[in-house]
Amino acid sequence: METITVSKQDTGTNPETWVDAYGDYLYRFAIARVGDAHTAADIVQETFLAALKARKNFSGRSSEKTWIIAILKHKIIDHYRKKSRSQPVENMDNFTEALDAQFDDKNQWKIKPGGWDSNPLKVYEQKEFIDTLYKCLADLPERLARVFIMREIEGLSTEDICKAMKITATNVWVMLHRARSGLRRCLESNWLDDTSPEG
Amino acid sequence: MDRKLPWWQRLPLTVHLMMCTYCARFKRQLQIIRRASQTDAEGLENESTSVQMPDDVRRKIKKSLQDHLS
Repeated sequence: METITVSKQDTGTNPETWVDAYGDYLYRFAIARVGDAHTAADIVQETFLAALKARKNFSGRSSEKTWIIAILKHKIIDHYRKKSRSQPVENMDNFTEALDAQFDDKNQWKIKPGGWDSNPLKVYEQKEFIDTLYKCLADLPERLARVFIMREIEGLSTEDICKAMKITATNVWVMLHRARSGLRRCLESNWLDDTSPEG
Repeated sequence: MDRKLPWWQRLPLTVHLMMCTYCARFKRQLQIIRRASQTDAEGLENESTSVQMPDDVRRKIKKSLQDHLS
């Protein structure tokens, strides 16, 4: 969205053609994430309107389709965030304490990561895994989620994130580490209870 | 994952990851999360490619875009 800034080599197509060009694809993606057609349609509409507002910022670093999908992913996470019954962990201190609790006083693993990375299936292509990832993203403290989305979904560099968030590079790296650790922990407890061979 | 470390930082990290099973596992899991974040609908299993946006939704969104363009 406004954080997606790019070069000038490709200014994209006419917004009037977007719906025919990307509508089905976005609708399919949204319906797979949110489950109901009505909500999916609303989210796709919001996505196109957000893209319209932000189109001056589209620079062509990624394809137009990739750019619009990144906006759609934002909107889906916003939807989960609004819908989430559990309050997002806005208190960063509590969140950090919970992450630190994975290690003991000697910095040894106290809560060891489960063995789901050795799953022979490509977990990152499984619908349930990605659904859980989106829900976990919605439950992250908002600033951490924003930094993660900019880096991993929009593909921005550290430098671009520093400018957008007005923070230092070290801050970006710390926040990315916390976001990733938090997501990993959330995925493990919400998705993987019965898939980890080693617990 | 976000920058290339200088060799004097990379080397001890690599050695540590070789010795620490759980740290290596942690790293692989973060890479899986990265892949999942970047996955688009085309890469997903179990998602029907036959689903299309209904015509009334298409018309509504087009009208809404036109209203905002004018």
